Amino acid sequence: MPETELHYMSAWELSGLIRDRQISPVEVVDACLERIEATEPTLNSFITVLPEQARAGAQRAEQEISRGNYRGPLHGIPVGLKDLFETAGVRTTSGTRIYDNYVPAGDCTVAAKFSQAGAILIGKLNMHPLAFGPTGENGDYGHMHNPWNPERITGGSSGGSGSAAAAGQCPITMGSDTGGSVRIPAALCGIVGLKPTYGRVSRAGLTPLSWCLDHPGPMVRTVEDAALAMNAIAGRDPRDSATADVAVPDYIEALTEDIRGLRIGVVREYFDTEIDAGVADLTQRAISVLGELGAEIVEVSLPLYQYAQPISNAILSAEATAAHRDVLLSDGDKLYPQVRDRLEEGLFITAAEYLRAQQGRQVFCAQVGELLKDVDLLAGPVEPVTAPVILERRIEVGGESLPAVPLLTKYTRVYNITGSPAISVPCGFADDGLPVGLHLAGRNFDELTVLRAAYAYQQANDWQTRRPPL
Amino acid sequence: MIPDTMIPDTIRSGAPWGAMPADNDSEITERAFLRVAAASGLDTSDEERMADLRGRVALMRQGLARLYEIDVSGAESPSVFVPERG
Repeated sequence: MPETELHYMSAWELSGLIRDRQISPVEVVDACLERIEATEPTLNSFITVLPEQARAGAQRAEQEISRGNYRGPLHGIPVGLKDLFETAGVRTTSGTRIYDNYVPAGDCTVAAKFSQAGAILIGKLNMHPLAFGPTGENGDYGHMHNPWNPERITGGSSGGSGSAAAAGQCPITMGSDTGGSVRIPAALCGIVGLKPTYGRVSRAGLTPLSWCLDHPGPMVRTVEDAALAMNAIAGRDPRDSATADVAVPDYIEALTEDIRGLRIGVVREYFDTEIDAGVADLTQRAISVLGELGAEIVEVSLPLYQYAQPISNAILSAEATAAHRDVLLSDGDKLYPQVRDRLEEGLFITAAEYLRAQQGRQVFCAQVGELLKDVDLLAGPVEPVTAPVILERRIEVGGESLPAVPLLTKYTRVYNITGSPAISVPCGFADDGLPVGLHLAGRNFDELTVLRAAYAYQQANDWQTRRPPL
Repeated sequence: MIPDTMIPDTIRSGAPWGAMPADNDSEITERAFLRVAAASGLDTSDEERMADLRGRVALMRQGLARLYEIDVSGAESPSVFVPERG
């Protein structure tokens, strides 16, 4: 048996042991449940934990495997879903008490695919209400806490997914990313978060925030586990008309350490804006490592970067308000105040402005597309700072005090606009002991190259082996 | 110009548009604001809340104004409808 504690083993490691019957899914689920019990009072990662259902599922998986019916690498692996993924018979709150008693009749496509692969749902994860915020605050179910320093935010909106994976509560979690909600908590909690291409993973059965910007994606401790999760969930879904009929590769193929010949563009403008010097240094060093591993590093320019916030905000706010208008009007006083504020603001975006933003999006996509004709990947920071203190509304960066919401989403929104696959992979720890993420984005539907570079970088370091001091 | 006192600290700090404007060149008149608010179904009787919202909306609309700085002459129709074959 390896020395790593069971709850900190990756799905990749666990699956080999389960397949070879060296450990039982029951032991794995029990280890995760024990870890949840021990750390949940500090972290508050979950809205709903499912001990009985998970143990029953683990026993079923154990019996199936012992009978020789091994379904594949996720058989018997615990999975946690952000609480906006609908789950049959399990309440799905979308992070607000307004939906405290909403129990879907069926599974969302992602949950169904995990179930088909033999994965075991261990619980539903805490989130910023309605996924409308990048910090991981929640007035109804309690704020989420960063495992590296519980006074700091997890980031959001998929904050519980970030803390659960980082703290060893669950090896595979899922988040959704509309302006950065997979990559932000991944970076701030020190895990891997992949936002696949728009249309690669089904949104069917997920509470929408913005129909044309929402991307479900895995949040895990290693790149291998991101590949395993993608193998289970990617693909065209008749229930989601946005999913594309594009062949799904075997994402395990990405797990080579060879990135010789890859061209990686470093976006100059990402470093010309407010960014903490320590974070910038760690990011630059990580990019240099990719160069040492054989990639060709070139500087590129994205002049339209300055318009990412207005384009994204206009589309996101208008669509979020359209999606949640009824609850705003009927139960606005029960919504988390900042979420209510943002939904109300969306009422004042005109149709002409929304469409102008969509036109701006096309021009923006064209500029990023031109860059990606010349390079295979774009690199930069995920966040300009490490995790701020919970409820801190302004953040000091380079002597300036800046509002938290736009600051935390300044790099991530770019790839929600373009729909490109983008990953946050841990690239070190700043002087405050908090993790920093490297951002890599690729061509649409080319998650393989994104994962390949992330894997090569991961293998050249030991960041993913560090554990938060819980 | 929205009086500074109309913009609470929580809004200043949480506004999603980035830099806080010194001037407001996309000001929405009180009458227009209240008409849109009422038409949208908001309770406009709470004056304090409406003043608060109006301040936030003014800031948001400053950000929207930036959309018109982008040259979109090459952009295709932003909304398309493809009818399904019956």
